[in-house]
Parts: sequence; C-alpha cells; structure tokens
Amino acid sequence: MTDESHQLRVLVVDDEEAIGRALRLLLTRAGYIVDVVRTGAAAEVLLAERHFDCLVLDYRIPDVRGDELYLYAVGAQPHLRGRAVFMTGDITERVHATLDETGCDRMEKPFDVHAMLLAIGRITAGLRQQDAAG
Amino acid sequence: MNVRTGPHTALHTPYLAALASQAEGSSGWLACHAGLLALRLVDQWMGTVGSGAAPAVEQLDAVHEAVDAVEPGPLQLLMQGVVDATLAAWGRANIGLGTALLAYGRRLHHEGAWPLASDVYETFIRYARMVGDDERLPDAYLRLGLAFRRREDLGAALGAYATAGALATAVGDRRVAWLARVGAANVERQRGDPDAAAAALDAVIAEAAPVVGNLPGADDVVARASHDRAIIEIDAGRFEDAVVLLHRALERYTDTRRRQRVLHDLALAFVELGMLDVGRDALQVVSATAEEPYLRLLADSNLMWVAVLAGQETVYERYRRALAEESLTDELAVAYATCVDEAERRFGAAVDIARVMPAWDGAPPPLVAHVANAVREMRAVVPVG
Repeated sequence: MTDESHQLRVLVVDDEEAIGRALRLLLTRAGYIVDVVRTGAAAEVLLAERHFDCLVLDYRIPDVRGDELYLYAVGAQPHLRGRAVFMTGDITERVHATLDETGCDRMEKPFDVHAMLLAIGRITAGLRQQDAAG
Repeated sequence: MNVRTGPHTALHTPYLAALASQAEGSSGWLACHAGLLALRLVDQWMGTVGSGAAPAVEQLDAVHEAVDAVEPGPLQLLMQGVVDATLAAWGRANIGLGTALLAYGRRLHHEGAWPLASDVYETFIRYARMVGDDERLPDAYLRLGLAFRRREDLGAALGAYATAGALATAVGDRRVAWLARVGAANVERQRGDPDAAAAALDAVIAEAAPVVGNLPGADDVVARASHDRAIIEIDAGRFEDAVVLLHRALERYTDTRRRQRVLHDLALAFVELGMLDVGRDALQVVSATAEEPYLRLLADSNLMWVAVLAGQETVYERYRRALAEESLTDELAVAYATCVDEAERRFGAAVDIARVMPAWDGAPPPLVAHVANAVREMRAVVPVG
C-alpha cells in the first residue's frame, strides 16, 4: 500500500478527456497523486478541499481561462504561486504575454510528455528535498 | 495594444451600499473598504493610461493600509493581486490587470457577494473595452447577468445576457451564446413567465444536445438547461417530469458543486412524490458533502421537513435545534418557520403523529437506481456518519 503522506499532489485541469487521462497515467507512474478535472468550477471545489503542490492548467477551459484560474488558486492556496504549468494550443503574442505575466512554465500542445514531467519535476524538486530532509 | 478612450470613473454604488449596511471596522466592512479603494485605483489607472501620471502617495498608502487590514485569506490575496497588477501596469495597458479583476470578482461571486461581484465585473468590462481585451467580454457579461439576477435586478440582468449573447454569437462562441439564453430564460421565470422560460430552455436543449461530446462545454449547457427546466416543472407541481429532467442534468454535470445542487433538487422531487426514504438518503449526502454552506443548511432544513412528513418527532427536533443555532438567510428562515409551524400542528395533535405521505409507485426503476448510485458515489467521497 502506498504511503500517500509523502506523495505530492498535482491538479490537472483540461477539458480534453484524452489529455487528462494521459497526464493522470504519466504523473501517477512518476509517483504523484493526481486529480484531473475538466472545468474551472470543478477545480475550484477541489482547491477548497485539498492541498495541492502543483497545477497543470489548460489555458482554454470552457468556463474560465487558465490564467484566471491560476490566480484564483493562488488566492486559495498561496504556496501555489509560481507552481503551475500551462498547456496551450495558442501561439499568439497576446497569449504568450499573458502567460509570461504569471511567471510560470508553459507547454505548447501537442507537448512532449517527458518535457512535461521535467517541468513538473522542476517545480516539485524543492518540495521533495524538503520532504527528504524532514 | 490599442487603447480606446471612454469613461473611467464609476460610483461603485454597491460597495458604498455594502459599507453603509455594516458596522464600521467589522471584518466585512474592512473587506468592502479595501475593495472599494482597489477599484478606485483601477479607475484612476484607466484615466491615466498613456499620460503616465503617477498615483498620489497618500492614495497608495491608503490602499495598502486598507488591504493589509482585511482578514487574511483568499479575498485579501485577490484584492492585493488587483492592486499589484494595477501598479505594475501604471501608465500602460496591461493584460494581467483584467485577469486579477476577474479572479477577484469570481471569489466574491462564490462568496455570494453578488452586488460587489457585479461592480467588479462592470469594472472589468470598462477595462476590457478600453484596452481591447474583447476575448473575455462575452463571459464577463454572462457573469454580470448572473450577478444582476441574483441581486434581483432583472432588467439589468436581461440586458447583460443579451449583450453576452450578441458578443458570443459574433465570435462564434456557441457555449456562451447558449448560456446567455439559459440565463435570460431564468430571468423570464423570475419575472413570472414560466411558459416563455420553458420554451427558451427547450430550444437550447434541442440545439446543444446533438453536439454533446463534439463541442467542449455542450454537456454542461444541456445539464444547466435541463436543471433549470426541471425547476419550472417543480414549481408547476409536475414532479415526475422534473425527475426525468433532473436525472438528465445529474448525468451530464461534471462539476461537483452543480451535481450536489441537482441531487438536492432531485431529493426534493422524490420527497414530493412520497418517496421519503430515497429523498432522505440523497439529502443526507448533500448535507454531509456540500461545499456551499447555504446548500448544506438547505439540505438540513429539508431533512427537518422530511422528518415532519415521516412523523419522526425526535429526528425533527434534532434538526430544529441544530438549525436554531445557525445564521439563516431570509429564505431559509421562512422555510424553518413554516416547518416548525407544521411540526407543532402535527406533533401537537396526538392522533396524527405517525402520518406518513403515501408511497409513490410510479418512478421508473432506472431513475431510482441512478439516484441510489449517485448517493453511493458521493457517500464514498465523504462517508456520512
């Protein structure tokens, strides 16, 4: 039985079911606890209930844009500031400028799963070290 | 980024009204005060884009001091986000400010502070029109429509929904265009025209249902329209039809909060049909799991009512005492008083204590099974003691 107390928890928000499934598989195998939801509203419910260590957010979710959901999440869990990876299919200057303002990583769809794992690993590396030291 | 000129100041009447209604220095008053100063800073920013005129030091001190005085928590952080984004953008158009405003508005919205949320959304709309952030305008008008509707400003709500629909249609956003029609239908229902509302909701369901699975968000549109359509059936006393629509909404909703709301309404429909056990089970799950405090209290209030209908005086008394300790909204207070009155009438008379509503045997078994599954599913998430 896995000891969940030492596992990091990632919230994935993407309305594309296939991407959600793939990320759940990938991140679970890498040792994370993963919650996948398809809407901003569902993400907000989880943010009120559970502690997350990292966010993986689609930029375009039907009910809220990813950058707004990120700010909302930081309001609910301030430690999440800077701990998000945005996924986007948009390559416009405006979208890039918007995401630059968050100071978070971004991956353009279709993304390389290893690059995604590395990006999440960079965010959570410090947390794992703290955990190991503790 | 092109900057359009326009009116930059607003009265922020909802904030002023909220301030006037609270004790000065209370936590609610402090949050309102800080929010008002933050919005006025945004107004000033809108007036100085391109001119570079800096805000007065006294004004900045006042804003920072006000935000610092707010009880620590999400609202304070989001207000701080608005202030930080405004200052970071001083003298130039900025995208981050719009996001900060929307996130702050969304939090107010979730806390049920509808007048304040509407003021923030209106501020966002003025900002978006000024800087040309057209992409988020349809959704902002949709949110504004809901905030107006919740504060019973029905004319303004219809106007906001009409604008949301027109803007969404112009950019081909079918989801927001449908949701604007759902919102407008709800205004019609609130205005006392259920037939017009039902026709509008049926039309949305007919258009959106065929594209579920192909168009992101279409399932949510069908769920919301079906849920709202069911409320019209409930109001008319057509509970069997309501159960079918609520079941459809329960199947389609992916958002837990909305699933909890529809489960609550489904429970009530079953109670109205005399299936007290099914209704009670579902209400207990909602009471134990609902994220929204209002929904939890509503479920408890209805559990108290079910206890009265079932003649369970001890159970009724337990809920009554628990609810008597809570701060109830006007609507819940009326429900509470009505229930207590009925309980006194029933339990006060020795003859009728064991009266139970007659069992309803017309429920198609799959619906009952589906409710039972939903109850089990939610029990698994948060076990009910």
